[in-house]
Amino acid sequence: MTVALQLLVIASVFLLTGSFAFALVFAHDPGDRGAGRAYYLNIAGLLLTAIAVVLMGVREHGIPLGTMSGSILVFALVMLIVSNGIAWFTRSLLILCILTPPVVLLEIVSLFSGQWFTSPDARAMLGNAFTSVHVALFMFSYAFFFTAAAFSVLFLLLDRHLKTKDYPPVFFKMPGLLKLDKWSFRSVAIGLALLTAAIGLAFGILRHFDAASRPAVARGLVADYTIMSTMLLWVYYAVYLLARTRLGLNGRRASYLTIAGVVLVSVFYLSGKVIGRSMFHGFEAPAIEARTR
Amino acid sequence: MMQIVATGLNHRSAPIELREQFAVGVKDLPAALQKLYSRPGVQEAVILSTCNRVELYTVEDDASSDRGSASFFSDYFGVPEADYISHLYRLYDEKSVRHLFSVASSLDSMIVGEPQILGQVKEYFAQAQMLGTTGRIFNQLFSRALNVGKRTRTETAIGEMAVSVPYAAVELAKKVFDSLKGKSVSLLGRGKMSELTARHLKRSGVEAIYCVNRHHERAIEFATKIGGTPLTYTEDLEFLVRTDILICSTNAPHHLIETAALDAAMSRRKNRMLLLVDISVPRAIDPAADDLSNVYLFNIDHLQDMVAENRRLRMEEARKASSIIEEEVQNFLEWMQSLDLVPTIRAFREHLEAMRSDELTRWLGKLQSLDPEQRELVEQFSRSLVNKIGHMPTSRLKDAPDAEKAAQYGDILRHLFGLERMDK
Repeated sequence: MTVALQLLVIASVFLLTGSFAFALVFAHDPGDRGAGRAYYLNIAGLLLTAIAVVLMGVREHGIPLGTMSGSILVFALVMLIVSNGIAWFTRSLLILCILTPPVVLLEIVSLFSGQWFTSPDARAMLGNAFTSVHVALFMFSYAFFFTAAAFSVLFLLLDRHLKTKDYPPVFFKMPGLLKLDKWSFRSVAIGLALLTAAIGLAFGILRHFDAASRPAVARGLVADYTIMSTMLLWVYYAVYLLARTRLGLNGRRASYLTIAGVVLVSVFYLSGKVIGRSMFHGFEAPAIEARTR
Repeated sequence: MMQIVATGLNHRSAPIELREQFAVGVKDLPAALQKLYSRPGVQEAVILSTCNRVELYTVEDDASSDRGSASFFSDYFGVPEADYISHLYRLYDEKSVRHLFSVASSLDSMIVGEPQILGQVKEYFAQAQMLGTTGRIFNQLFSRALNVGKRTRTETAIGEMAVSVPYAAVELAKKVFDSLKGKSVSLLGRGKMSELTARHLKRSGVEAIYCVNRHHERAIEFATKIGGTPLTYTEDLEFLVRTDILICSTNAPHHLIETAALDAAMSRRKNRMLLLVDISVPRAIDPAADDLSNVYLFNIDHLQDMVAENRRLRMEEARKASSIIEEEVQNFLEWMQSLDLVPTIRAFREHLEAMRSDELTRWLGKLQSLDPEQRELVEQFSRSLVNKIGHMPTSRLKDAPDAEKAAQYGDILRHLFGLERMDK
């Protein structure tokens, strides 16, 4: 099973790299034939990644989020779904140019992390459907934040060309500044909505564990790194959207903040694995139960 | 032998004073086409008359004579041949097909990549079709020409980049705002170029045009002329609050828009994006304004550089379009080749079928003891045998390397199987 999974991920990496190459070449060229290949290769990579995730899920009896390989691969799949959806909707090959390389990197990291299957304790925690939806919502929200950053990168590129009066062939293929700014804003808005839903769902999970009647649990939750960093992220993006809608924040400054947001997401997520000593939170349900008995 | 001929004058071969003598308007087209079509040897005819060319496309059975399209210009327009003969070009077969495809793809236009020519070719062809002066060859040729025109526009960027200053301004506006629907443009000053640019912007979807001037009466006068709304220029640039695109064309000796005032105006505009096109000389907008966030400033030099670069890129795209045209020319010539062979192949197959039928009747008459099922089997056997015999010569004929070889093979086939007797 492990070899089969690795082969699937390797094949997906090749297909996505091919898609990126086509997208890069044909973002300049108005011909439809090469652009079609970029999209089809990306979809093919998405399907192979999905098959790998499903195979892992079958082994795990649920969404394979309990290990580094599994959770990274699931996030890569979410990124592929979101980026292909956005590329199809906006007809922008350039989005694939920006979002496909990070996905390729994620899949390579998942290959090298080597941890394919979850421990029984983590499986017990993840067996709850609410938990799976809670984690999936976070992943989709981060994927939209990354997409917003991709639009912001394109915005800054086009802004630079307009300021320097430089018109390379790709200049003529880029959508307008206002459109890029709008899509970036909308992606953040969708991401924040999903993040809010994910956090809201967490309250339901806490009720499931009856956390309110257990002070030790409540203290553990407040001190949890993942929860605190997620709340900070929520505040960051909420203030960002407020500034966009009420204070006239747009253009270059908004783009820098969108990109900074996604850097925050990456830093919080990666550092959480170290500081939190866990794939998700610093606590484990059985440990909480043992402390509160 | 039938030939496709293209005869005409264009902007490269003849000056406007000569071309205008041969212009055929839409009203005069039916009469001119009928005259051309009725000339000896002309089997099919299409006339194409635009501001840059007058061309006659004909299928003639003796193109080398003076009776067909060659003398049409002098006979129909009454212009002495000596006046125009040195400016006239006459292309045959492959060259005429290539020329038509180049015309339809706008490679032969004064501005390579201009979009009007395809519509004009379509219109003149449609008229000729309606009048019945086209046949199988031109119906196929012009349909392919229109497809080639569409293909070159789709598969290359030949029509995509602006090659005039007003269009460059429109292109820049679209790069900043993407869609110009609902946007407003202000004209500061009354220059011809700014008026032309504003009209182009209006055609691209701009909703409102404001005419700004220090003197309100002049603003009203200009606004009335171009269908805009008058506004008075003020030092605090209040008119910018409702503007997305500003086009400056004044002869003021100093900057009318300073960076500090613009910065303040941007705050009042809630920092919405602003495109400034300054085609004044001396410049009316402080160049440092380009450093402001969400402000994009272009002067006349920037626009002209963009136009020059676009023209160069269009010529590169024209090279790509030429290879598409070559491919389509060869496809059309192969189709023409197969057309010449159709009567021969049909005659050959009819001859084989006639032989099969005669022999079958004779031999089945001698085999009275066969039941219907057996007769059917014998019939099928004869069909299969004849098809197999006929298959190789037919394939070899269709696969001939060129039209000349195909004609030779056709002649040999007709001679060997006595098909000439059947024609008689």
